[in-house]
Amino acid sequence: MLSWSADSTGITWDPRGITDPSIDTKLAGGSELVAFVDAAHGTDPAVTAAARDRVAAVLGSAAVGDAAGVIGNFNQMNRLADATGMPVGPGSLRRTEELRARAGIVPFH
Amino acid sequence: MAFDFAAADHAVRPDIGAAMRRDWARLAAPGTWWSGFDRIAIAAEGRTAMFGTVAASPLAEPVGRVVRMVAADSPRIDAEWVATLPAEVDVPAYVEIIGIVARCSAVDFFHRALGLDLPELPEPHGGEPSRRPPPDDVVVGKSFVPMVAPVSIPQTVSLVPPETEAWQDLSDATYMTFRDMERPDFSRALHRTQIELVAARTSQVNECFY
Repeated sequence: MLSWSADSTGITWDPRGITDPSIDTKLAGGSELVAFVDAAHGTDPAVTAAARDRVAAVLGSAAVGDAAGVIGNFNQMNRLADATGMPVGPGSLRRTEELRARAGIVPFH
Repeated sequence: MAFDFAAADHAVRPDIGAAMRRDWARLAAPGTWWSGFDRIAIAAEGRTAMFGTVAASPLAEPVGRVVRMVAADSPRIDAEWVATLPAEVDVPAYVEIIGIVARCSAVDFFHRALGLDLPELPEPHGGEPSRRPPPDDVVVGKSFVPMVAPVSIPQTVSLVPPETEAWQDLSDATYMTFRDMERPDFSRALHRTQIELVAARTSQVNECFY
């Protein structure tokens, strides 16, 4: 989805930043969003608060609320997919082969 | 009012709060295979597993074990594990557990991300589960649980139709609708690419290929 939306809208980005936070995705606020996701799954509220503030400083306060919604939703989606054994079809694997290779993403099942 | 985020440090769209209020109302009501009391107990057990909070569980231990696995260890679930579910949890009941736990994880991680206390679980409503039989036209064997065709993310919990309706309602507000997904330039406070980056990184952290 990320590759499709970026390519369709002419946005240049680096998928390696999905798996390696030290690499800039080149999306506006990308580093701040990745750090926010990581902090939200951590255990230190101060780190999460600082991450929120950085997202707000770069993308605006409303972006924090929207990003929190996506974090919540993908915790939901991940559990739906994992617990039901949602298969990754050969078509999806084929379409995403180059992207996965660039990002270093390996299917878990 | 529950899920009124007016006092939060950052702006939250009102439709997110409204979706969470609907979700809590669904959670408290009798489901298809579990009572309202059971559903709240499942939600509480899942929360305990995800965040390490301590709460006495009214669930029978075999049920609690299933809930904890879905909540906190779902990447380890495989076909063999699902095939050996305890007698107290048949496959449709398992699917309803997935729906409950998954939706609570959405609400709870949203609150944690915003530095807010987890919302109190609602008081359960009385009444019996509907025990509405699963749809007949399901595909068996392509996933760990039967799904209505085509086997795909929207159909994950289609064996228990109200659970599909519930997660999609929450997802529409916190992520985007299926119609929005057709637009590569969809934008709220975040552009579509930024939304997908957050989604992809969340899946990476959760070790979920999806």
